[in-house]
This record gives sequence, structure tokens and C-alpha cells, in this order.
Amino acid sequence: MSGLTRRGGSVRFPLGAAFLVLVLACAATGSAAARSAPRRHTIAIQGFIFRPDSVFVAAGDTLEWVNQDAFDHSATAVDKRFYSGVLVKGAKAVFVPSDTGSYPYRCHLHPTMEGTIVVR
Amino acid sequence: MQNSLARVGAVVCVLASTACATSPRMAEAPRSVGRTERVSDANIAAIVVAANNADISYANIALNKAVSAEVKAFAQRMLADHGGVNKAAVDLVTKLGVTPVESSISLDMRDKSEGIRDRLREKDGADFDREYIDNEIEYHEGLLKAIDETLIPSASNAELRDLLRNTRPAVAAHLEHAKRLRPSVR
Repeated sequence: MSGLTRRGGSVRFPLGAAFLVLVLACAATGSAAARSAPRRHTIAIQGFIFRPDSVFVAAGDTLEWVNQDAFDHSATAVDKRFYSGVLVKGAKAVFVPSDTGSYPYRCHLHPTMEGTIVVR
Repeated sequence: MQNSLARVGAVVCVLASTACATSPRMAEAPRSVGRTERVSDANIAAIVVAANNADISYANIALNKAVSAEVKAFAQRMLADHGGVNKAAVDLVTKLGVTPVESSISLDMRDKSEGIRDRLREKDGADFDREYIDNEIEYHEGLLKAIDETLIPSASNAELRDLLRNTRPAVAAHLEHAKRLRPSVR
């Protein structure tokens, strides 16, 4: 922060620096608040489709699948990172991703059902 | 359409043989199908269960004869999913006081279904896997067409229509699954 202050400079710079500090502090506080308040994303399994089929989330957010079909389904990561188990009608499963990346998944019972989770 | 109806109606006779009374609500106002056949809700109820029974019977053969693990898993899935639809259909017709009613088209269709089972039983090894998956593709294509063009448009009862609409995605997914398996059983 001291690098912002010019030697022999006018009073403007210290004020500008203070303002910048304030802005950065607010941003940092905002980021911290955002990190401390993870969101919940619900993915409905309906009509043999993951709805929505692509979800963009932050690390630490909660993903929840809800099987609304009368048929058994699952949410199974292609890389086996997560597996919901068999979800009967009305069953739910949650996954909280911790690593960023793109994670394709499918229903292992009906492999034509596909979805993707992007963790940013 | 004739082929698809032949397939889905193939087991109607089996069901009809155990049928008792027909619900007045479901038997009313049968509608035209094609140029010669008429399908009532009671007929449709029979066809839904019959179609599932047909695929369950193919799956049971596959569980004993398939050599590919993927084909066996597919057969297991057919058993579970079509069994589930069957249960839903039986629950519905029981609730409505309906039993399946055989239509004239089901008579020659049953023979075809039996013929398919005979053909499957004659095959072994990779030949069986290929025959089974080819039949599954044809079966689900026919069923999908029948659902879209005959069963849903003909259904009068709202719950029966909902059952058909909710079953359609399963049939479409099974068809796509079978098509994806096809290259692996060449």
C-alpha cells in the first residue's frame, strides 16, 4: 500500500490511497461474505432429463438432485468423483464440490441421461 | 404402425385371458386406429401392460443368455423399468376397476411376440447379444410410435393419458441406450 504514496506528493495521493484501501477492503469483505454464504442449486430429474443439464457453481456450493420421475435414477460423475446412489422416486442426493473444474456426469442406470457441473 | 401395434399388442391376449369385467368408464367410446381397428381405454390399458410384459420376457431370456456385461445390464434395466411401468399400469386399472380387453389386432400380434422369444432362444453367444439388441431397438421404435400416434391420441381417461406421457421418456431413453449398445455387439 505504501507504494501508492509518492514522495513529496500532494495530499491527494494519501487520500486516493485511503480510498483505494477502502475499496479493496470492501471487496475483500464482499468476497469473504460470498465465500461464507454458499448457494444451493437444485437439479430436478424429470422425464429422463437433468434439469438444468449444465450448472455453474462455486466451490463450496451445494448441489442437490431430486428424482421426480417414477423410475430409479442416479447422478454419477464420469470420473467417479461423486455418486448419488440409486435415487428412487422422490429421493434426493447432495454433493458439495471443493475443487474447480468441469465434471460431466450421467445416470448410470440410463447412460443417455447426461449433465455437467462446472465449478468456478 | 401395424408393426408397432403388433408388437405392443402381442401380449394383450395373455392379459385378456385373465381379464374379468371392463370398467364402463374405460370401455366407452373406442376410437379409430388406422383404418380397421378401434382402441378403447380398456384396450390401451391392456396394450400398456402387454407391451411391458413382452419386453420383460425378452429381458429374462437375455439375463440367462447374454454374454456382454453391458447387454446384461441393459436387460436388467429393462426388467426394472418395464416392471415399474407395469406396476403403475396395474395399479391404475385396479383403481379404475378396469381389466384389459383384448382387441382383434392382439390375436396375430401375440404370435409375433412368441416368435421373437423363439428366435432369441435359438441364438447363443455374441449372436444372441446382437439379436437381442436389434430386437430392443425395433421394439422400442415401435412402442414409441404407437405411444405417439395411437395410444396417447386415443386415450380418453386423463390418468391413463398421463401414464402414457410419463412412460414415453423412458421408452425413448431405452431406445437411445439400445442404439448406443449396438456397435459393441457387432
